[in-house]
Amino acid sequence: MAAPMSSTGPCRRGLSVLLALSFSIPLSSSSSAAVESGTLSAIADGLSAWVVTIKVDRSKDIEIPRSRLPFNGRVSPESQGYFKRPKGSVTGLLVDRRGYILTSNYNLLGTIRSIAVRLPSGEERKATVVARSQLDDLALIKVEGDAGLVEKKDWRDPPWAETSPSAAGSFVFAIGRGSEPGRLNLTEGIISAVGRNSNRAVQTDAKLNYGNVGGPLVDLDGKVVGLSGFVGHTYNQWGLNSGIGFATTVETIRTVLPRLLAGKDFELPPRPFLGIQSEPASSGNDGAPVVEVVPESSAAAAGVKSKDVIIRFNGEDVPNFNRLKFLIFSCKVGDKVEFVVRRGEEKIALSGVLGKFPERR
Amino acid sequence: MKYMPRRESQRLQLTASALLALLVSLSFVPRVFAETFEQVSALRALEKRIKSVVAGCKPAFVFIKGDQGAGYSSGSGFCISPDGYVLTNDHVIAGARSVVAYMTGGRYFKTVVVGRDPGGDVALLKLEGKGKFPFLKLGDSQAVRPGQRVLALGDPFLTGSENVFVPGAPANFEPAVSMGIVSAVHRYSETYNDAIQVDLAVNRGNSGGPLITLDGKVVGINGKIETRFALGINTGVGYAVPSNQISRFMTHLEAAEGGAVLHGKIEGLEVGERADEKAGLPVVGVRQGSPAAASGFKAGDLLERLGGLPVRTRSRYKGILGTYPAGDTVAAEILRAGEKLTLKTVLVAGGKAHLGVIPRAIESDVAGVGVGSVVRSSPAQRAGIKEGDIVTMFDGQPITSTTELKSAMNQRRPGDTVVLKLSRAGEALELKVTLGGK
Repeated sequence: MAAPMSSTGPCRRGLSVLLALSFSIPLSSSSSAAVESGTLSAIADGLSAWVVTIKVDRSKDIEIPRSRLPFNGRVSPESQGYFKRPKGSVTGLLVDRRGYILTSNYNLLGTIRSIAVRLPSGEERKATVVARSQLDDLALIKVEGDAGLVEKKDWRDPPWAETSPSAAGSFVFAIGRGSEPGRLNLTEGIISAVGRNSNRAVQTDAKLNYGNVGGPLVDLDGKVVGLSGFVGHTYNQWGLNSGIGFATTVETIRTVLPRLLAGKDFELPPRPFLGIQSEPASSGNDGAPVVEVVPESSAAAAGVKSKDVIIRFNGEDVPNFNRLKFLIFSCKVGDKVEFVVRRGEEKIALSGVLGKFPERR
Repeated sequence: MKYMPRRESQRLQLTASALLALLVSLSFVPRVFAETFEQVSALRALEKRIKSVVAGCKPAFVFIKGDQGAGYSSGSGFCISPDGYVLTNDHVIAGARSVVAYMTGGRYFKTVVVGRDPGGDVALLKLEGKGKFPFLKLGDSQAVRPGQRVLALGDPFLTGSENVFVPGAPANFEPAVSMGIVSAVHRYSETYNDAIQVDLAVNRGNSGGPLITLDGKVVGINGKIETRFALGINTGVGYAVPSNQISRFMTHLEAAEGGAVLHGKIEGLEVGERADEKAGLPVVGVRQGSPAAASGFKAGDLLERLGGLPVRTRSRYKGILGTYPAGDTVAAEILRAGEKLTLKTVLVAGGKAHLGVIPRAIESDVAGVGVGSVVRSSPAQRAGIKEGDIVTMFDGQPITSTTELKSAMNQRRPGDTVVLKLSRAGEALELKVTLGGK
């Protein structure tokens, strides 16, 4: 890549004004080379104003169970370091003019002494954790100081995409920022699969390593489709990209962020409940047979009877109970749902409102 | 310390001249610069193609789960015919009591193992279900070139068939696609005789999944990666079994009745380590009376091509032969005293004959070798030999000890059919067994 991929290129008009006003070192002052539009450099450059470096100082990191390490963690003392989180900075995304930064929750696990954020300008500020969503591997931190980072009139939201890609195959780019101010880091990949984490995340083969995790995943339009995270979920060890990465989608962020901004952790939402008991049928592809209808459940209210077979749910085929569970898990408590049951020779369209999964006694 | 400033200035000078060079190049060839970096529009066109190939191939993908008794073996596979024939890696289903295939979206079917190629790490299954299945076509792996962009569909780390985020929550049964390029072709890596090397992300669970060109054709089965430090994660070096090899074994797999197919070799031919600068791979020995001798090979021949492909090393020689089943005829182009000759030779099954009976002393009046256990999906099991049987005769020859059984087996080749006489619960019976290879 011949064009330097730095934040020092000319920013979009509003943005450079914003930065010049707010930061001690205006970005436009050290401009050296133009970033050609239509290039990947321009995509990275377009995100520059929102991508920040986070340095986390820990007294103790989380422990990875030995059973999940190669050789059960039985390696020489010198090699133990391979299994530990590297020291160095990670990435976050500035999402609010008051100085709120979204990153991967994993970046902020362990016993934390202090958090320092280096803004794109190079200015460094201390920060504290505001709220977390373990389900989505998100954490919100805020830089210290009452005054906002950016004047209200100068602030623009990050270029969020309307929606995340609806199918696999779209190009995406993971953007990180190293400890050296101004240096962005771009890796290329595609969307490997959609609908992960019960439709809350996408999978990507863009290289995600220690450092760029917690940064935005952007599409060819330069729009943010998600925030990368979930490093420990497939391989419980820092440091190496496997080509299996995840990002929490922009849709999920949109629903979670207001709660995080209010300082509240995002708890695991109550599991939605239709109210049928089924069984994994041996044939596997003829719908979800209803063995029993739970009294006073949404299924009962909708008129489902035992021996019915649920064959469609919210417009999608239901080949078996496992698929029905997935489709129900992709909804929220209170969602109106439509489904079709087969009763004898008849096909009956029913609808109901999903309830809450009953507490285990 | 005295030198420090000077070094500093040298570096600065260098930077300044580099900057100047950049400015000069910018001012002289701005159009070239712009055209070279029209990346986004180029990628948009590519993205459109990738998405349509993925959407077209995904319905034919299957998630494979093999019941291993204590737990499951997991991997990937894909349909290759509308009546539900499925290809996967042999190591995904080896040892499984039963195998289930999940389609994208979660429909699932029991499967029957039709044929196994342990030597080539390929297995052919058939879905037990009616209806027309979406399927993929095998392409020509010989046409694959290094640098060609390819896609892999699979279930790496089981992220599609299990919910890795919330324990107990259902998975969405969406395969994962990764993109990369062909790094090299004709790689020899142990049982991967003629592998396509790729740089795309391939991890545990990808095994058995298709390697797909941007034409939507399958040119290989992803099955192996190079990895270090026991990490077992993608390094950017993955190997796929080439489709042309698979095609050659297909009729054998279809006819295998659940058993293993055999790879072939040129019996009695010994070749050198590598070819000279200009000449072919030297034939250093031909065993008298061997199939190689019968085909006309002579010591001192220089082997130039095998099966139409150039061969310059012993590993490549083994690699090319490894892509053929036993019984196939292969053409060898040789140079003998400056003259070009083409010899045709029928490949014979290599290795030792395999029966699949683990002997045990059994109290009985009948003289013979007691069957302690029968190896799963071995020739013995397929022939119907059962635990507790006593083998009394092997092709007309009485058997009274394991030593005699072993020496009788040593006289046979993989693929041979033998007649065994057994005593089962006091009754005599006769079974025909087609021996496997090991």
